[in-house]
Formats: sequence, C-alpha cells, structure tokens
Amino acid sequence: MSILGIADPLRFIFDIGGFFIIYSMLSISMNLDYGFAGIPNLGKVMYFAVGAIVTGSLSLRIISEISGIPLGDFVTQNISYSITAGNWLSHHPIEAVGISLSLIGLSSLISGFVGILSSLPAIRLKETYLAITLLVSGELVRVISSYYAPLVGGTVGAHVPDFFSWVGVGRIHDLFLLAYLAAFMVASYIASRLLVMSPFGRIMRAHRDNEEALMSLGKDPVYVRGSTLFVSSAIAGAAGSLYAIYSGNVNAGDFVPDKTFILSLIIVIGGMANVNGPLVGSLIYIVIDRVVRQAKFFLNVPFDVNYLSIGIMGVILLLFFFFRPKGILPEKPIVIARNKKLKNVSE
Amino acid sequence: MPLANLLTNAFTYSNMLVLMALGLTFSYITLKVPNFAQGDFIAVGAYVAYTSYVLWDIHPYLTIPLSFHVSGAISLLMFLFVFSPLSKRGFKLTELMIAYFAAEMIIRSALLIYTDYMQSSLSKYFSNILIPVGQVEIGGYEISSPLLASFILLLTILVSFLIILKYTKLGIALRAVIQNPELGRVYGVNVEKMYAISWFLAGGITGMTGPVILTFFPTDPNIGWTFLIRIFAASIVGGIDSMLGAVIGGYFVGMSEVLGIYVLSQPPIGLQPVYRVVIPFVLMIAALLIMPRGIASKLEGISFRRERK
Repeated sequence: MSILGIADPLRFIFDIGGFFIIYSMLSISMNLDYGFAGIPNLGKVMYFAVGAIVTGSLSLRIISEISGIPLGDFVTQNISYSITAGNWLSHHPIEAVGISLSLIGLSSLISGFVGILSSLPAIRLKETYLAITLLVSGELVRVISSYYAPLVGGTVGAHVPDFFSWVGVGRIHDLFLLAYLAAFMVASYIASRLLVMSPFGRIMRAHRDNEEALMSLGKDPVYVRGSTLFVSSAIAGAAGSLYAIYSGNVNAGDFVPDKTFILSLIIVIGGMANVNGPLVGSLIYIVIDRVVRQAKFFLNVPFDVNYLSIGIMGVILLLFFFFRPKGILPEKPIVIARNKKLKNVSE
Repeated sequence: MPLANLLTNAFTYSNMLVLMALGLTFSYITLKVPNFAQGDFIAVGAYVAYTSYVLWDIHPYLTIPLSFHVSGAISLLMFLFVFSPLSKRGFKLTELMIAYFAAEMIIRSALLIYTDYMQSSLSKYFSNILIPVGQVEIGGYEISSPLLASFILLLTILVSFLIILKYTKLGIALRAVIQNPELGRVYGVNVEKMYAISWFLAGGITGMTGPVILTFFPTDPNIGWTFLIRIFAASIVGGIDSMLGAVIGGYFVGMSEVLGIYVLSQPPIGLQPVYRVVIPFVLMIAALLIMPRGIASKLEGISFRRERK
C-alpha cells in the first residue's frame, strides 16, 4: 500500500502527529512571549534545546542509578545502553512513567529558570539588543553543547531509551506515545488560555502595547518579563523533553536558529496573540513542510529538496507580511463574561 | 615561527571583521534594525569568486569588484522590494527582524541549491572549500597573501569612504540623512535614495570579504551564521551606529578572539580551540551591560553618530 510515496499511512500520521504536538507547544510558548507580551524572543530554540539536552543527558544516567545496571562511558556506550535500558523499562512500567514524568518536569523547570535568567539583560536592553542577545545565546548553547561530548554525546548525539517499551510494539505503542505527548500539549494549551484570560494576561498585553502606561499603573515590567519568560520557557522545555522522548535521540547540532524562525512563521501564519493561532499555524506549517518533502519522490531535481523548503518558508512569511499581516486568525479582544449582563454588553 | 603565524591570523581575521561590521553599520543606520542576512553576503561574495575560479580559473582576488557588485545588488533588491515597503507600512522592529530572518533564509536556500546543483553538474567540491594562495615576498619578508589582500582592501575602503563622506556632495547628503532624516528631507535630500545607496554599500562591503575569506577560512553556504555572532559582537562592542565603531570593534573582537583562544588553549588552562566563539559572545554581553552604545560613543565628536533620545 503506497499513497503519494508514503509506504505506511498510519506511520505517516504518527510522524505528523508527533511533530504537530511539539511545534504547537513551542509556538504556544512563542506566542506568549512575542504575541502577548511583546518580548522579541529570537532565542526560542535555546529553551527547546535546554529541555532536550537535560532529558538526553540525564535519562540513561537516572535509569542506570535506579536499575543498578552500570552505564560505563556515557559518550561511547549510550547507543547500546539505550537498548538495555529499553529492555529494563519494558518490565518496569511504573518506573518508566515515573522517570519520564520527572524528566519532563525537571527539563521544564530548568528551562524556566533559564528563561528567568535571560530576562535579566532585558532590564537594561532595548528591543533590538535584547533580540540579538537571545539569538546569540541560543547559538552559544548549540555550539557548546555540540562540542562538549559528556553532555549529550557531542556531534554524535545521545540516545534516549524507549519509555513505552512496556506497552508492546507496533501501532499500540505508537498510539500510547502519541497520546502521552498530546496530553502535555492539551495541558499547555489550556494553561496558555487561562493565563491569557487572567488579570496577568491583561498585564502582558499592556506590557506589549505600552510599557510606560504599565509602569504608571504601578506594575513592574521587569517582573512581567521574568514571569512571562518563566512560563513560556517551561512550556518550551517540556516540548524539548518530549521531543527527546519521542525521537529517541538528541543531537545538539539540530537546534539551529532556523527553528526559532519557523516558530515566528507559525505564529505569523496562525495569527499573533490569538490562543488558537499556534495550532492552526503549526498544522499549516507541517502540511507544507511534508508536501515539500514528499515532492522529492516526484520531482527529479539535481539538489536536495529540503534546501528548497527553507527558501519556501521564507517566501511564505514575506507573503503573509505583505498580504495578511494579522494571520489567519487575527487577534480578538478577549471577553471574560462572568455574568450574562456583561456578555450582552459586549455583544 | 608560531608568533608570526598567530599575528598573521589575528590581523587577517580582524581586518575581515572590520569590513563586515562596517557593512552591518551601513544597513543598521537606515532602518535601525540589525540585518541578519549580513553574514550571507560573505557566502555570496565567496561563491562568486569560487565559481569564477572553477569555471574560468580566475584568481579569487581579481573577482573582489564583482563580488562587491553582486552582493550589493542583492542587498539593494532586498531593501527596495522587501524592507522599504514593510517599514513604510509601519512594521515594528521585531517584525522587521523576522523579515530579515526570512530574507536570510531565502538567500541561504538559493546558495545551498546553487552549490548542490554545481557540485553535481561539475562534479567538483562546492562545499567546505578553501583556495590556498600562498605567500608573497616583499623586501625579503614572506607575507601571507590573505593578510596583504585584507589590509589593502580595508585601507582602500576606509580611505575612499573618508574622502567620499568628507568632500563629496553625495557623502555630505548621506551623513545628513544618517544624522537626521527629517532635516535632510527639508534640505531637499532624497532620503529614500540615500538609504538605497547605504544598503548597496552594506551588502557590497560585506560581500567583498567573501573572496578573501575563501582563501583563508573553509567556506560553505552556512558561513553566514558562523560569522554573524562575530559581526554583531564587533558592531556592538564598537558601537553599532558608527563607522569608527566598526573599526574599533572589529579589531577589538578579532584580536581578542584569535589571541585569547591561543592563550587559553596553552597548558595551564588547555581549553579546546573550538570554544573560541565564546570570546566574542562574552565581549558582546559585557559591552551591552557596561556601555550599550559601544566604545565609539565615548569618543565624542569623531564619529558620525545619529543622536537618539
């Protein structure tokens, strides 16, 4: 069975589903920073990388501590040990879920603190300088972690064991993994929705629209930036950890600034400062990306089609900027109707 | 002699950084947003030189004027068709930065496709390329060609800019527009035209470094990102909106990186040379915290800065 060069349609849906979930979480995080609070976070990939690196470097070490099976040298042994660990996890479902949950929690916490840390230069820096600092910090994290082998295996990368080997193999396993990922995405979507509708969400938008007015009302912009970055980075860190668990491999070299750009593209397509924007944007991005990748089975061109994809994304973003700068779902005033009278007034 | 080699490296590298930072300054002073595509002009310039070298066996340094015009033209087209319309529509700084990012990806994608295509059709390497040019003998001393080329290039650019900016009508108009666009407009200067010239120079000057980089540093289409951190660091340390700042910053960052990593990789510390990118980063952060407007802002009255609130 083969549709459009896809050997196994279910497998294809599983692939798309996983990436959709991870990109949605990352763009929800980007939307909180950039869409709602107006922080030019061009280093978003850094928090994603931090989450993935924490999970990639700790998963096998923690399993080795708990199971008592010696790991040996992490850099050379992590590939073979990830299979050993997978086998051990297949007999210990409770440990598997516990370890994966604590890894995700830890990753998102560490990433959140990196977020607070990176809001510190923002105390003094203006928009452009802050964006440059964040962008360059992201590159620095990538360069250092891809050279420093004991962290996540250097340029070769580190493997993460299969935390769902106890479910079985094949489709039921994939379904379980996808459901696990989806639960985190739904949680972060609800969290972002609640945050945006809360009084703090109002302060975030005020911070974006007019910082001086915010200060005149006795709110501290430094505090707003710090808390926003903590929440958004925690979501991005969880996404990084889920990515490591989902793909089973962390390679620090993957966290290039292009990823941040893709996230900006997603929220520009979906609609900036609209809670549903990231979901719509991610879906459209993933469909376009997969279509371009499938195109290589039909087009006979003397170059790698993936290179074309980079350029197409750039063109799409510029087209949106020119013809639909507010995205597919434009920002709407948020109406919090506590009682019917207020709702009637707003209508 | 290792010391001579080290100094040769440090000076060649710093000269290149000065030119790149000068390019960034020229695009920054127009829309007040740092251009992420700046690094890609190096790759454009380098591939112009490499293509002529492979196809017609032309020495890379002879294609410097061509590299200047090709990358300048790309920069100008970007300004005329993307950034100028966007800024007129009232796009804010961050949105412009994202648009720069998009333009950078389009250029890089085109370069990657071009190199892939050339590599498969000519069956010659188009990635990770380096053309060794050896040394020239001047007065009994062996001097590396990239060093000499970079010095000549830098001096030519600096001297011609000093003359143009000080003594020609065009230069005075350009300075006026940079310092105060509104007043320039009142005096009948075509601000839009001056901005376009500035963007052409921004792309051109950075693109010129491509052929020299090609003989000095392994080049591939992603080289823009390798240098972007250094360009930003040099510009910010020196002062992003000043030409003098580009010279100071380029030398400061270039020298600190090459000499600094040499010292740090020696026995007492023994750091691996791959971590050299940390040096410009640390310098940049320090500059942002101590003097965000750069060293040049401390040297009042020398640079052509635009006064800001």
